[in-house]
Amino acid sequence: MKNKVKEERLKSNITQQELADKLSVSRQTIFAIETGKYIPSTILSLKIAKAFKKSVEEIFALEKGD
Amino acid sequence: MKEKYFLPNHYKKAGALMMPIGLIIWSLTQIGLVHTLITIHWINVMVLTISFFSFLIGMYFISFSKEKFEDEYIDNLRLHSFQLSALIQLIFFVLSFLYMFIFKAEPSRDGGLELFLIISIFIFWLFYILHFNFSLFRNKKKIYEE
Repeated sequence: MKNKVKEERLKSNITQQELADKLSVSRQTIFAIETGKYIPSTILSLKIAKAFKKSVEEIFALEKGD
Repeated sequence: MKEKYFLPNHYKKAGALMMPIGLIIWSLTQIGLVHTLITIHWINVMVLTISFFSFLIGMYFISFSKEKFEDEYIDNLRLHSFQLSALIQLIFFVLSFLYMFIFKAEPSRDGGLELFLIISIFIFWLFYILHFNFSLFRNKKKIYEE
């Protein structure tokens, strides 16, 4: 699964730490999501989408192998 | 594995102190080094018992204490480390029994069986502690490198 978390974060001009604080997760989690190492849970995905005021589909997309 | 099983984060520091000290003293006692320094039997037994329990409790503190920031990613890392540790333990068991079967070398002399069982159990926890903490350390390092 690919995501646009980093792009959206940079568009919003906020740091990983600021986004982490907003979502009540660690900076490590944001880093792992941005680098594609970790696929967040449904709850966290919804929170991320809400933080950027977008729909989940606009942030996360399935890839061929998924 | 929800938070009710976990201890506060400061237990991890206590565990990081207790576990190596306990292991070193226990190992020294096992190889008989403490016997040469202290000749009174009951003191030796007490040192052996206290050091072993210090090692055990330290290991429990490290394994079951919360991180400073507990979230789903940490849970995921923890689960991954548990799975890998279980696999390592299974491989260790299979290889050990294969070795014993092929070479007919049963660990019976000088508490060999006892040591084999202790290693078999602890290999799981030691690998779990090493893998989980190394994963955390590696992630933190990557973040600072970025």
